Amino acid sequence: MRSAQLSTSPVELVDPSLEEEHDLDKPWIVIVWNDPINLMVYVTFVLRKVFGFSESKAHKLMLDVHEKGRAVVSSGDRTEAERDVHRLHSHGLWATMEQED
Amino acid sequence: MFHRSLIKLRADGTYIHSFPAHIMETISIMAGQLDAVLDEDLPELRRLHPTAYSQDAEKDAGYQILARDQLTDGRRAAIDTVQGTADQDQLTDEEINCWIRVINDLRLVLGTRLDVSEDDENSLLRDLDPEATEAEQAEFELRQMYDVLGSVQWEMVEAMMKGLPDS
Repeated sequence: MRSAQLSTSPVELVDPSLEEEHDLDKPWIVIVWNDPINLMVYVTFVLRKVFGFSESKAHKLMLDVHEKGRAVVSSGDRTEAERDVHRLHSHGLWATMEQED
Repeated sequence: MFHRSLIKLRADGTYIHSFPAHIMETISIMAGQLDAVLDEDLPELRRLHPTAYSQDAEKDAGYQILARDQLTDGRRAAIDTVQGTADQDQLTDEEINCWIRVINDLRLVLGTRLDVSEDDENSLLRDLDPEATEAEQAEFELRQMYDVLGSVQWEMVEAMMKGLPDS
């Protein structure tokens, strides 16, 4: 992710503050939120289809979404997280991404 | 709603269904109505374009610019498939996926308009109050359609899950 965002050219190199550098390294997590519309079986189905999860893993994550209100379904760099969020959005799931604390 | 499974995966990988023709036709018509308003900025369409960056409005604005057209194009392609296969009782894996997605989009729009909550009772299990006003009757009918869509989607998803490898 850093190599994709920061130029290697000395002329253009941005010297990030330590905090920003730390932020760039922090992984992004993708969260699916509970909502009253999507059927539970549909959420399980989408998690299996998008991520290739086993039935038991997808079912457990779906129950976390339903009972705890949210579940972290994937993590990675910003590009990977955005791709996952987009795939979940294309299936109508309520998904967001944020950097891990 | 349905007492027996109305859709089955066949050995050749296609699906055969016996959903009532008028329900498939109604879903197809509703899909066309959704298609006609997909580019509009209507409050009931807000669930079709969820926030991606919950903690960063600027990054989210960038995501929305890129994602919005792609999401709409994907929805239109799925709607085209639904409209082109509404009178078929045999559907491919890809076609069923389109039906499931379009039904979900319709439920997101109807559910938002009806402001449904998790505690709502399934309208197919209750009768309309005989003294209901015209507006209440219209809302009840919309709610019934929402629940019918849920029943059809449930059946389709259950059938498709049987075809997924348990990796």
